[in-house]
Amino acid sequence: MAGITVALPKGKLLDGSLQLFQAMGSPSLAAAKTSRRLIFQEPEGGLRFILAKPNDVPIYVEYGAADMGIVGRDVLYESERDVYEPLSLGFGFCRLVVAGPPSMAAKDLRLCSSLRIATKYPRLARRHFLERGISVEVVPLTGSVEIAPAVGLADLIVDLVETGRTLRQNGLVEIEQVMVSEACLIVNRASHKLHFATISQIINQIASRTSAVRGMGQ
Amino acid sequence: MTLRFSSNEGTLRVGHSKMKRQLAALPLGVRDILFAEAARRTDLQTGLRRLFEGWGYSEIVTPTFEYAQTMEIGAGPALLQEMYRFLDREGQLLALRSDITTSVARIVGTKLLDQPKPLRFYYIANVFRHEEPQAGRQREFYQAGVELIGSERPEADAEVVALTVRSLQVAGLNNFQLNLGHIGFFKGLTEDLALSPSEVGLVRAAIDRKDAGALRSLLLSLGIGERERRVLTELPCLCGRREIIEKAHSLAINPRSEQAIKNLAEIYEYLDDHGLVEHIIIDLGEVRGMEYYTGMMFEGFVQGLGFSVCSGGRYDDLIGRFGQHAPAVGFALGLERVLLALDKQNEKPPTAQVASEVLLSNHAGQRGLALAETLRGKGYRVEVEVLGRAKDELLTYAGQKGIKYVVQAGEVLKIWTSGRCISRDWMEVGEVEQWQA
Repeated sequence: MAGITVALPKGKLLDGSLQLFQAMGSPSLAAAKTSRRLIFQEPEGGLRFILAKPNDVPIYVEYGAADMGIVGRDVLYESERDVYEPLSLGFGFCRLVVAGPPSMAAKDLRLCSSLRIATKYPRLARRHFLERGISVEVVPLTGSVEIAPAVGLADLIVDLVETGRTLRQNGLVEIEQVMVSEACLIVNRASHKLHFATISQIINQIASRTSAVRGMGQ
Repeated sequence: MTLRFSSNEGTLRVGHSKMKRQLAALPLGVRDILFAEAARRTDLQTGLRRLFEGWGYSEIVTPTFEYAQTMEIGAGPALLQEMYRFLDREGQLLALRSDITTSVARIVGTKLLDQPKPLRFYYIANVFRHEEPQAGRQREFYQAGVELIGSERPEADAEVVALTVRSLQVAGLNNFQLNLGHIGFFKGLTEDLALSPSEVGLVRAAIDRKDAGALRSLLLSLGIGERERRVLTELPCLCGRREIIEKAHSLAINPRSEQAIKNLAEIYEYLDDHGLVEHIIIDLGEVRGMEYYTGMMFEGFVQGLGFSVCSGGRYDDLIGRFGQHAPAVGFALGLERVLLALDKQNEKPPTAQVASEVLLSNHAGQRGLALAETLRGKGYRVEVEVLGRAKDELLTYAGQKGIKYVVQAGEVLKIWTSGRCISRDWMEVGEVEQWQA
């Protein structure tokens, strides 16, 4: 495990990520929730962890600043970074959907000549519509996407839903699904090759753990 | 007229500074290379040139732009999107070179058919790709590489791999490895599966991402039989030393995949003869690479750098698309990435001697200029003052630039070095070296 750095995402996926690595025997992470430190080093050449903003995890990993990381598949595909993604981790499930006011839900989107879409996922949103020949104007926002239709900023939004409650509270309905996301493990290409044995071992450990957890859930 | 000008003066000045700022701007993905950095690159290029020539390769210089149609031959979807295309005045679509191998293939396929084989070419040139500048990618970057044309034997593959290893060593890198795979193995595994090209593309993409879960469910949904499914899902794990070749051999399911492994085994034996297997990792889980690769292919990685520094492979069908069929194999390394890897390894880059050693003051006259020529002939780097500065300013400048000697070639020759001044009668040319003493 010597010298391997793992980037963990702050925010929604942090709990699941910490649980995973703590269960695999990384006690240094016990303080991660409360401490303001951003780097945690296991003793005796064990793993090193860094806490990063979710959007930054693919960047750390693509450059090799971290050898591996955990990130939501939505964020990963939006980032278009060149990394390996050997494992889905079985937590952090959510869906990326197109949503809008009920009036929009009744329309055939393919017949709309101009749609404005507010989203935190401009690349995924654009690709979703353009691939089907629907021309859209994407309005990139960094938060509170749900209010965009109500204030006339956009016709539709592309955003994550877990329960659908936020959508309902803002008078929006789901129109179609863009993708299903869950936490996944990503690995730097060069690290995967240069530390093949070590990294394979970590991947296998995580795989057996996540499949055990999945087994219990069923 | 005059009035309008004077009333606009303020605006004009603003406009001027804005224009200057625009002149300072650079397009994304290109860079200026200055001083020591430029010298370092040149030294690297010189070392590689000498190496390639020592192996019997001769230089080939291809055009910076060609007909887009030519550049597009053999390019995969990503490269097609990344080409810089433009129209000439006749309305013909041109493209900046995005890959040198394609141009070499054109030249060989159309002009060099009757030359005695094998042909060995090397190039060091800039190429252009419209990529997002990130993680080692730029829009203009330099490649040094070789092409060995006319042999389909494993000796040729091994020679190119060996030359890649030597290139990285000449560059000053240690702690690197080449991951050697064979696209024929994947093509063999998928050829009998009755999949459409786009379905094969999906399988390839999942293997490329090493996404085992997606690969498993994709193969299930495509209705792939159990044996083929097991082999394909095992691909990403086929990475290691010699034993991987045997393991892969037991997984081969048809003549084509078996042939690929046999070929890889032969190449590996020749690499053993070259004494280089310590740098080689067999890696059958890698299915990316240039679209035109047909056989063995490889990528080079250096400890501490998150992306590859070189890649290469066999391309037996590319030249045939321009003319007569000729098997070929080659590699290219990215000069910028190699330099970056050297930085990461804290290796001293090949020494960059850029500063002059001698500064000859102005008013040098015929005698002084002759002295400059003599010193240059003896290998000193001499600059002659062109700003008309006085002695003190010259000494300051020499200090800043690390120039060792400041020389005033008047009636008496004055040489300042480390603060001291040596004055002497005009010396004979042969005495020049005695400065050191």
